[in-house]
Amino acid sequence: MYRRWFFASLLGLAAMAAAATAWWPGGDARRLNVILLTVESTRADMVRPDTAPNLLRAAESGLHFRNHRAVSAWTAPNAVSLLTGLDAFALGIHAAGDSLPRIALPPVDGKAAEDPPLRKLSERGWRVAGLQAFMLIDQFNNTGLTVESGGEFLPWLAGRVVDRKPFFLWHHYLETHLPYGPAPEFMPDWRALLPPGDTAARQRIETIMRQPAVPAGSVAFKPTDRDAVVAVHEATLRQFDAWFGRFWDFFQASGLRDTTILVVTADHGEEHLERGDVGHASTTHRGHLYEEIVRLPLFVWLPPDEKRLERGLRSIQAPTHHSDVMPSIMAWLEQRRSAPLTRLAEKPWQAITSLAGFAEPDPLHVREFVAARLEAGWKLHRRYRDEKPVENRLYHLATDPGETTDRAAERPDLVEKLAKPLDAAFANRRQVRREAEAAALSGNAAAPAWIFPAGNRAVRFADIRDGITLRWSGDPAARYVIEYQAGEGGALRLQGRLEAQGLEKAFGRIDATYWRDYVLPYGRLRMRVGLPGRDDAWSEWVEVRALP
Amino acid sequence: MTKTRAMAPRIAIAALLLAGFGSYAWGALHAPWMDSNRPAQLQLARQVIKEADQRNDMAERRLAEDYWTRYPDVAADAYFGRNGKLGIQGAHEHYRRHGRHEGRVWGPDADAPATSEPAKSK
Repeated sequence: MYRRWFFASLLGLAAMAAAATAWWPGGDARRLNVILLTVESTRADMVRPDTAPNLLRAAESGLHFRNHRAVSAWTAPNAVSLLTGLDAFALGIHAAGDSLPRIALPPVDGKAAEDPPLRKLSERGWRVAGLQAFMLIDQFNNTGLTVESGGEFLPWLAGRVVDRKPFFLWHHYLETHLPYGPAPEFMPDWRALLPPGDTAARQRIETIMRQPAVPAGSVAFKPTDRDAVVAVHEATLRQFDAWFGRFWDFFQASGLRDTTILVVTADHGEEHLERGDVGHASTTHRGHLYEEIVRLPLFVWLPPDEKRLERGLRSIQAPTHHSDVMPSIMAWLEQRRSAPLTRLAEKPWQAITSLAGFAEPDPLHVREFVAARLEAGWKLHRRYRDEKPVENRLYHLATDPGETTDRAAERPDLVEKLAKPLDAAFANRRQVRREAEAAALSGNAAAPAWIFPAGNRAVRFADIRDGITLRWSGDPAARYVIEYQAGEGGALRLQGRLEAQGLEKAFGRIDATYWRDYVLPYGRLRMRVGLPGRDDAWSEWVEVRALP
Repeated sequence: MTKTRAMAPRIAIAALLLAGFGSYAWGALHAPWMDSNRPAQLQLARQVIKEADQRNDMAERRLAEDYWTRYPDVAADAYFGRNGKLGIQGAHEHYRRHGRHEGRVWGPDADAPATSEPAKSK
């Protein structure tokens, strides 16, 4: 009798344990994957049934956010905001070389510093990855991302279908960036959109199809160029849509649709001559935060079994922005319905940008910023120079969506109201103090000398397609800085600094399109390596010429 | 009454066992080996991976042939050569380890001249 009760009780306990395993919400049974797909330079009004039919057809089974905005005017701060959940004021990424702190995210609103969300995911067993070599640049340091440079997007995902390990993948579709070079099957008859016989107009359009940057003032665009500009840029989005269609077919057929949160958005938008330029901060060097730059598409797909997390929503008009995305992803991964993206709260939006982003001429001393705040339909643009506000522009978006009529003089009360929180955010923004920190660390070490490249040389794509590693002499434990100048004068010039720990800096594989569109146009790259904060400890300049 | 009271604990335990194993069975029904779509999904994934590997292999073979054509001394090498132990990877491995430091050229153009007199391959 006793034995029967004893074994019956054991069986009961075992059954309860089994039931608990099946139903426990935090168990390993449901570790969803995440794909964050960002599309370069894609403004919200570009996404229409005639330009992105595959994307919009897929969106019928997901969430469509119709009032989503960027937090800055160029790629890095927007991408890092998406990856961390911080806004651009907290990130402090305003120029080449700026990056997050090494140990933890910057503290926000008096809260203690936290680990980046991607690092937390990695510690919990997710494979957190990006596959593209450009993700190795400093701006993406310390986000928790591991760059598996050279991996191909679909084959990498296929590998995860096979091994069934949870992953977070960020992929940035680049072919919608300047130069606008759609494949022949997508190329529109842009010449027909220009005044007949206007060869100067053709040359202007050919410039945006040839150059990765078109600094403000370098090309005298005319309003009649706009249709052709829009046509060639939208053709690159049609090409993306065809690519997305192939991805979506694989996404469904492979079963990833059932196990993955998919987020599709843009890093930022693009100006199509609304203010006289074509491009965005890093390419025009005249950055701003008008709607064509900050108003973006956002689509989210949750696995069909997680319908309750969608809260019955489909099309969301409430305002959202990039820093809502990662906290929402983390909430969904933890099976919580309280995601910021679906809270439907009317909340103000703020953003900040340097004027030239990645192409800031003096990255360590950025003097001019544009910030903006949108509240109750009114949008204030406020320019700062040397820490002081110098200009205001105020627009009412409901009646003036193109932001053409400045009402700052008419409504000083609103300017004051919107400026106050903006000034506070600007004053409290994170400011990177790289040189001061590094100078304190570098002491009296000798100047380094180049080992590779040992002298001036020419390189072809085939020489570096598997990756290239710069090497120099010195102290393996020290930090170094590489100063570079790209271009040969004219409109295409880029300069900046990269940090390195130890005696080498590796750059992963790049593809032929990236070499053709973003490296070859500059022609020449000069580099020197030195110790941070030490003007007397630089190597000689070495010059590398890019050949096809 | 007495009989019912005596049966009650047994009924309770039976109900617990049923609920517990029922939950476990429900979980098992959703296990990967019970997913009838899984074989097709795996086949698709493996096909995508195989096609990528083939693309990379073809590109690698073309570049290797160009390198061996350009540098007969490397082509004849027992380790890095056409018939060497590293197979088609031999050419690129030679370039990585020695060729780039010797001024040899790695690339698709078989007619491109060497940029300097190469040292004897190691």
